Amino acid sequence: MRIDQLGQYVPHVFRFAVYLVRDHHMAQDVAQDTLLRAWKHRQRLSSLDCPRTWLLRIAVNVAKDYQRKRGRMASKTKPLPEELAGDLPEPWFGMVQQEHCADLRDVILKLTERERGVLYLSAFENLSHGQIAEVLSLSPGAVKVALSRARKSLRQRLRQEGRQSR
Amino acid sequence: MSLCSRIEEYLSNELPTELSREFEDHLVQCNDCRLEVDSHHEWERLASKVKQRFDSESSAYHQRIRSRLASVEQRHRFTVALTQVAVGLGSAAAVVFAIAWAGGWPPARHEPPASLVNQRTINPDVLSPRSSVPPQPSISVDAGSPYLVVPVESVNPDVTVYWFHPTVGEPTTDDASMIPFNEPSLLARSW
Repeated sequence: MRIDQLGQYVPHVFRFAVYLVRDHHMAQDVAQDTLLRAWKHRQRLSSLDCPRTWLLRIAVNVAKDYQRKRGRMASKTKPLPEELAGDLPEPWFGMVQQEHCADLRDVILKLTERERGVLYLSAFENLSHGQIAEVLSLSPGAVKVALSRARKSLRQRLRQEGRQSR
Repeated sequence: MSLCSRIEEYLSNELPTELSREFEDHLVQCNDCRLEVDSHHEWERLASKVKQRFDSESSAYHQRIRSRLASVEQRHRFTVALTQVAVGLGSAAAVVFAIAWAGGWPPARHEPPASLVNQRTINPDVLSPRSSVPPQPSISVDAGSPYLVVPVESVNPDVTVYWFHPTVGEPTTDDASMIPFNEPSLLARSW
């Protein structure tokens, strides 16, 4: 397998990396390392039913490594100002601002980390419960519960907005 | 179990086909479920729109990642090729070393055959007529001979060249009239 055949997964991996590390430049490094790691084990890649799930799982591990390094570096430098730290880019934060549904951002921020991850993988990557469970190392039951809660919160907010707009 | 409680399964496409159809019929009657499903579709529409926008805005990042991967692959290929060459050279060196270790190196020097060696030997009695050094062959002189005949090397195999040196004796043959006896002369005779 040639490395450029992994190119088709670049948008998925980069998007997920941005979600994980909330920094475009670091996400670029995370995405690259993820694809390189996958390429090193390319024999396995060709035998998988859904290589995307496997790549996203690798991205989680790589992002953890980077965040650990960033944590070590951050402890040596000044912390980010609060207003900047709260405005770190995440794929859907940009989206909710652009779509004039800033309220959704509040809903997403109120979700737990697990619920946000499950919601992200379902909405952006269209993964099934089983695949989400594989990526986030959760049980399918836990994924189902988290997704149900997250969707319910979003639906409630969207219904409220619908009522207000009427 | 009422159909309203199965909305999550319906939205996740987890309901069997039969139940899914039943749920869709239920949606016509249940306003609450219909609103829930509409909100879900609204969320999905938003997510899809933003995903597209996010991807188009990130295309420069995608390109950079792809080109980085390509350069890594190029480097990898170069390293593999270099390794192969190094392994090849190493193997060749190992073979040479093994031969040397076994005593076969350097190969024995082959002396030319004796016949060739003899051909290259210069006969000291046959010297070049063009040489400025006068021939000094080891010859024996017959007492009473009017001249001394010394064979000299000739380029033409059909021509024989002699040095004639006068001696103290008197000429006794007819050839003597042809040769000036007072100084050394060259006589070439063709057969």
